[in-house]
Amino acid sequence: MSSSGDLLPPEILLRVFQWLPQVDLLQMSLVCQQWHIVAMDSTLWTHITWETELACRWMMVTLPHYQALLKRPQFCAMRKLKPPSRKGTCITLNIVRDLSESCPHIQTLDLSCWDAYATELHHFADIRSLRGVWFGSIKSESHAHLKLCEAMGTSMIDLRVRSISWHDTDALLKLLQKVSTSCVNVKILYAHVPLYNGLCGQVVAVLKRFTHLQVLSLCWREGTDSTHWQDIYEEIVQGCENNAFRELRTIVFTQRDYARLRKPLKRKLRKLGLLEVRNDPGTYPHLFPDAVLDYSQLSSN
Amino acid sequence: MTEENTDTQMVKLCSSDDREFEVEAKVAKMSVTIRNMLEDLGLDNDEVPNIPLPNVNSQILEMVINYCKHHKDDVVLATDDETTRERALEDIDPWDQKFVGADQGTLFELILAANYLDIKSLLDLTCKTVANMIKGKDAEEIRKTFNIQNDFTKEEEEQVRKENEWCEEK
Repeated sequence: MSSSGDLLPPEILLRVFQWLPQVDLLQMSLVCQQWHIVAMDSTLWTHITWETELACRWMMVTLPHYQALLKRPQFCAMRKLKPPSRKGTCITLNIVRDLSESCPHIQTLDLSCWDAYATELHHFADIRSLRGVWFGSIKSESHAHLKLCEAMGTSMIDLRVRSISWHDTDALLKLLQKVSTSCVNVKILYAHVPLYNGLCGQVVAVLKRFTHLQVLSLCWREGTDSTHWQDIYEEIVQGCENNAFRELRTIVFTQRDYARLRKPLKRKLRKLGLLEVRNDPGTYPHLFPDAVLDYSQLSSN
Repeated sequence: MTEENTDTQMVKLCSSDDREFEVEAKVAKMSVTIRNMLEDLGLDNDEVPNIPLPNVNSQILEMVINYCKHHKDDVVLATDDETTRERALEDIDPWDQKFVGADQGTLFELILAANYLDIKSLLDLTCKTVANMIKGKDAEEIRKTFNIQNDFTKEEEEQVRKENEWCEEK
C-alpha cells in the first residue's frame, strides 16, 4: 500500500483535479494529507461554482458565514465573488474591506441572486481590483445599482443584468443611459431582460454610447415575439457596416436563442465574425454564459 | 529545408529499454519535448536523428506513438473556460476511450510519459480519465480504488470534515 497518494506527483494530481466539480474536491481533500493539499489549491477555487453553491444551499448561508469562509487560504485567489443575499442585507464598508482583504484578486462581483432592493451596494466599489458587476433584478426606484456603477466609473469593464421582469427593461435602459458617461470602459455588456415591441431604436442608441464594447449579449424571453429581439441585432449589423460598434467582436447567444435566429441574420453575423454560441446556463437568473471571465483576454484600446 | 520536408522526415525514438521506433517527424513533434530536441539538433542533414527517451519504456512509448499517429492531423481547438470543465469531462472520443481503457498502472505510466514528453492533448485525456474514475466517489472508495493509505490522525480528519461542512447537505 502506498504510504500516501504518492502514486501521482502533486502537479499531475492538480491537473486531474482541474477536471472535477468542486463538490468532489471536498471528498478528495479527505483522502490523505497530500490530496488534501492539492484539493485545496487556490487555483481550483477562483470562484465558487454553481454545484457547490447548490450543495451548500446558498440561500441559507449568511454574510458573516461567507466572510469567515473566504478567510480560508484556498480562496486567496478568488476572482469572482458571489456574496449571499437575504432580504434586508445591508452592506457596510467594513464588510467590503474585510472581503477584499481575504480575496485581493476579486474581479467580478456576482449579485445576480440579490433582490432589487438591496442598499449601500456602492461600498463594493471599494474593492480596488473589481472590474465587473453582474446584477439580477434592478428597479428604477432603487439607486443602489446606479450608485455602484458610478462609483466604479472607468474601472467597470463587465456589466451584466439578468432579470425576467418587464419593469427591469426600462430600469436597465435608464441605468445604461446614465452610466454611459461615467463607465466609458465597458467592454462586456449582457442585457438579459425582456425586449418588447418598440424598443429597438432605444436599445441600439444606448448601446452605441459604449464605444469600447467588445462582447454583447441580449437574450430573447420566452413568451415574447422574437422579431423585436432580432431587429435589434439587424440594426447592430447595419451599425457595424457603417462604422459604429468598431470594437465589437463577439455577440454571445445561448443555444436556445441561436436556434431562433432567422437564417439571413445568422449569415450576416457569421460574416462579420461576431457569432458565439454558448450552452444555456439555465432559465433561473443565477448564471450567465461565462463568455469572458478572464478580462486579460480582452483587447486593450 | 521547408516545414513540409522536415515533417515527412523520419526520426528514431529510443526507449529506456533500448528499443528504437522510427516515426515521421510530424508525429514525433506532437511532443513539445521532442520538438525542442529536434530544433536543437537542427534537421538539415540526411541522417535520421536519434532521440533518447530514458524516462519512457518501450511498452508505453509504443502506445504514445500510436496515440500521436492517430491524432497527428487534429486541429487544436481553443480551450474553453474553467466553468465548462464538467461538460468536457464527459466528452471523450470513442477511440481515445478505448485507448486509455487499459489498466490503472498503464494509465498512470501514460500520464507520466505525456507529462515528460509534453503532449497536452494526451495529458488532458489521461487526466480526464482519472478524474472520471474519481468523480462521485467518497474518500474511502477512492482510497480503495487507488490503494492509498489514510495518513490523517483522527483529529486531523475531523478538522478537514469541519472545514468542508459549509458545503455538505444537512
